[in-house]
Amino acid sequence: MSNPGHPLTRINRHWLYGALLAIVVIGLIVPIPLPLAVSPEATRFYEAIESAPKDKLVLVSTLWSASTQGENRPQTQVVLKHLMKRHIRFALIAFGDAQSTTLAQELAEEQARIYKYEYGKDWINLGFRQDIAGTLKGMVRDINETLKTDSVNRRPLAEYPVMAGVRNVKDLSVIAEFSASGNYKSWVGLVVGSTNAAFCYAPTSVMAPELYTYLDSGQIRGMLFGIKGAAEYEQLLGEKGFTTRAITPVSLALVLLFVLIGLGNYGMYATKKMEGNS
Amino acid sequence: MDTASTWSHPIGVWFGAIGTLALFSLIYRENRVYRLFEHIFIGLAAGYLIKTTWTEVLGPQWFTPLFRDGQWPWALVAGFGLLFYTIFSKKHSWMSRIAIGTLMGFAAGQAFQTTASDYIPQIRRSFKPLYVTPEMIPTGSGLTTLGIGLNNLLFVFIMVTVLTYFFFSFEQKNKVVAASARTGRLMLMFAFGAIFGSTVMARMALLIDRVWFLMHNWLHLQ
Repeated sequence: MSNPGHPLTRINRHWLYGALLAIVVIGLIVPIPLPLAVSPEATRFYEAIESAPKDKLVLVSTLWSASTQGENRPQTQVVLKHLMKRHIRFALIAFGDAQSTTLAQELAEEQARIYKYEYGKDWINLGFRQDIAGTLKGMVRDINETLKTDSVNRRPLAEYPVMAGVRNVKDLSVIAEFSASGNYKSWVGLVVGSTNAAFCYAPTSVMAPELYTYLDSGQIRGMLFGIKGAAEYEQLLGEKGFTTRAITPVSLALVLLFVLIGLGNYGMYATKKMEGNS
Repeated sequence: MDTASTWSHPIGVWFGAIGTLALFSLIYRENRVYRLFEHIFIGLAAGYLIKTTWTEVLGPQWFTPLFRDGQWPWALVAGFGLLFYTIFSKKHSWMSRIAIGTLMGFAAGQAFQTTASDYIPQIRRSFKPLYVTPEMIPTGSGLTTLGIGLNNLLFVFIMVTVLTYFFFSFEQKNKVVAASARTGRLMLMFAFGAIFGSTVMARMALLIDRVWFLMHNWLHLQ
């Protein structure tokens, strides 16, 4: 008769999913104040916005959809909040994913209602572009000529007060990209060398590790590391919102995974030992 | 999370909640409800892309200038774009190569520019001083010369060992080279481990977002 293995190797996976769900629900219901150290890259992102001059435009670029909104939405939200708190004018632009422009527009409208931001005067949506390289090359030369109209009223950009004094990327103070994709290479390759604007990046956690070389070289000024980065930014803003709350279940879920990996490995070890003894 | 405008309508909330539960039902086992909602999700995303491409790109950037403003040269763009579709005809497929070749030329030219801007600053930055003087310490950083020196030494050590691992042009028989390559592989494993950990965190964040939506927006528990 074959060895059925150690009981730890025979746990039904549904119990594991159930445990994970329970941890997440409990973590969201019972806020456990776990310490959160703010990383230098999140601090640099924050400082770039904090030190942005009020007479210059900040470009907020988004490339995320419903599938990664769990991370990219809170990132975008905290930075928009910071911009509006400081009353810095900003322009939205979306690349790659068609949902991105609508989701960013909705988010900006929500925050604009809270902070009394006026469309066209304090902020604008430059719309969605499929071709990132061609658009960025055009924006290096002339933003109005490349993008022509906004995406809400379809009026020429030059008619909006928010675009006053903005000709090309040299007239921006910060470029903040919120992305579920690797298009930072296009920004770094085509734009960063052509402007003094600080380029800050907010990727999903999956992509974040590969960006440290860019942070080290200074090509990317600051970074928000997934939802953790959003929680750090929220802490720097002195607020306790969704991300501060969400970071507890994230930490608890990771602890659970550590425990399960440990138990699984012990189960395999014990099974091999049992096979050796039989 | 403040999702007032996105999920303000009860029908939207219910559809979102049912869709979320239907997609999570795969955890239990493969089923038809999951498949139905998977197809709905993909169909919605694809349809939305087509709609947005028209309303945001083709409409204002091509249709309006051509047909409303009378800028006729935009018609040439359509002709060029249509060349791609000749690939479906055996007789005319050679014409698609004109469009493909032109775009490949553009892409290659951009690649030259982006490669230089992308990698050269990183290569330059990889030359780190191993002997650090007090003047090199960034003001207000709280770092020491010893700390920066050790950090730089570690950086250079890892970079050299990882680069050694990627020497595939000759067999790594030399003991020093082989040991360096093995160390480099080990360092790569650490990096992959970090990426895996980050991936897990990303997936947890997506799960938490959905659970929060169900609890907060749908069930009003929080």
